[in-house]
Amino acid sequence: MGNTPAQSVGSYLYGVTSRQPFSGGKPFKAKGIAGQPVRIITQGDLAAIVSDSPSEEYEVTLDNVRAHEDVVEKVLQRTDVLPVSFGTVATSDQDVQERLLGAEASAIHAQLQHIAGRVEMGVKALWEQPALFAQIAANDPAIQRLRDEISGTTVEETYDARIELGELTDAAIQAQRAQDAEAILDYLGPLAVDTYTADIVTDMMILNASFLVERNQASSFAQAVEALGQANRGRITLQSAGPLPPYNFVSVVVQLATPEEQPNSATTR
Amino acid sequence: MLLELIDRILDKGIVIDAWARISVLSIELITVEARVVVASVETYLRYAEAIGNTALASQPPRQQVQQQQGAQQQQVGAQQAQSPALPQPQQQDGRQQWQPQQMQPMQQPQQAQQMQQAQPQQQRQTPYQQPQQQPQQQQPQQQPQQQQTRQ
Repeated sequence: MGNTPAQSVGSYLYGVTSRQPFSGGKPFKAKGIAGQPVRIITQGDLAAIVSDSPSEEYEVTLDNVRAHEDVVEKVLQRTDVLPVSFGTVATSDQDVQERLLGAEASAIHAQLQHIAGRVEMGVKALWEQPALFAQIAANDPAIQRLRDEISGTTVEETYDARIELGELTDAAIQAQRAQDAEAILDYLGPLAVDTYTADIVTDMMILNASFLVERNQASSFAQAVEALGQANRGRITLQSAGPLPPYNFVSVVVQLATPEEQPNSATTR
Repeated sequence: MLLELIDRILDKGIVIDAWARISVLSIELITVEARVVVASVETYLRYAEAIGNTALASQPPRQQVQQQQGAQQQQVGAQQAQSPALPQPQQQDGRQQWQPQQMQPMQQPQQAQQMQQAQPQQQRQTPYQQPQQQPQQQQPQQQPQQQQTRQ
């Protein structure tokens, strides 16, 4: 994006929030996507965080994504915020005021209420590979028998046995994942207001979850994750992230598309 | 890092269809990256290999660095697994010294209790003050089998 001449083609949107934390008091200063200064525009008791958008469309690059996220996180430091999905550009500030803040006010209020005073914490749990396989081998006689069978052989020599062993192991991993994930959720769930689990993205991943927690309990939640990781050291690694904007707990899909605005082949989701 | 961020901020939060301006090229890249975990023949062979290595771990450490690492980590796992008491010993012995608590998956930290009790102090430390009453926070459930009695 760099130093394109700032000829604005619209208003890039970062988030929606209440007006009050931005009226009077200290000004909100931040640099947004493509280095554009961030502005607050308001409508009724709501506010949107925007900047001029020099681009028609955005590539998912680390710079762009981080610029977006940094602004939303900066708003989060001040107040509750409904994050807007990356790469959202309205034709003008007025468009944002009328068609989003105005027309969708009741949906926005409902979502703001859901996340009021709360932040998102991300938790990923992963097995330590050697410990997992050792555990699986130790618990299953069939797996042990096949392990002995392939011992000291080449892949060609014991191909079928290896496939069978792999299948059994895969099934054992899935069963173990269900069990470990449930145990983690049982432990952390009660510390959160709401829980969201996303798909796992690697085969050593047990859980890929987000938790909506009270702001003033974010650090004790992180400590609980840490303690759980300590108690399972050598077997499971837990990574936590946050406080984050509550992306996974805000679900507003606004359908504005009119025939002429239908996403065309150049810009679509 | 990028994937992590994308995972978080794409198609999440407020989504406004007509205002979405993400280049098509990017979308193709993401689809390639965000592959689902699907087991294949390669996966099975890899798992078989990994299980095969667990036999080596119970023997004296080999010269190969990789195997040594594996063995060391396994010892950690073994110690871990030995520490909690098993409610119902269900496995016939003799195979392996240690039993990772037959599927009793997670060990709950003992600190959990202390952490909860220490709550008021922690609240003061957090940057975000909430004047309201203490939210109804339940104690992490104590499941009898997760009580740790050290031997």
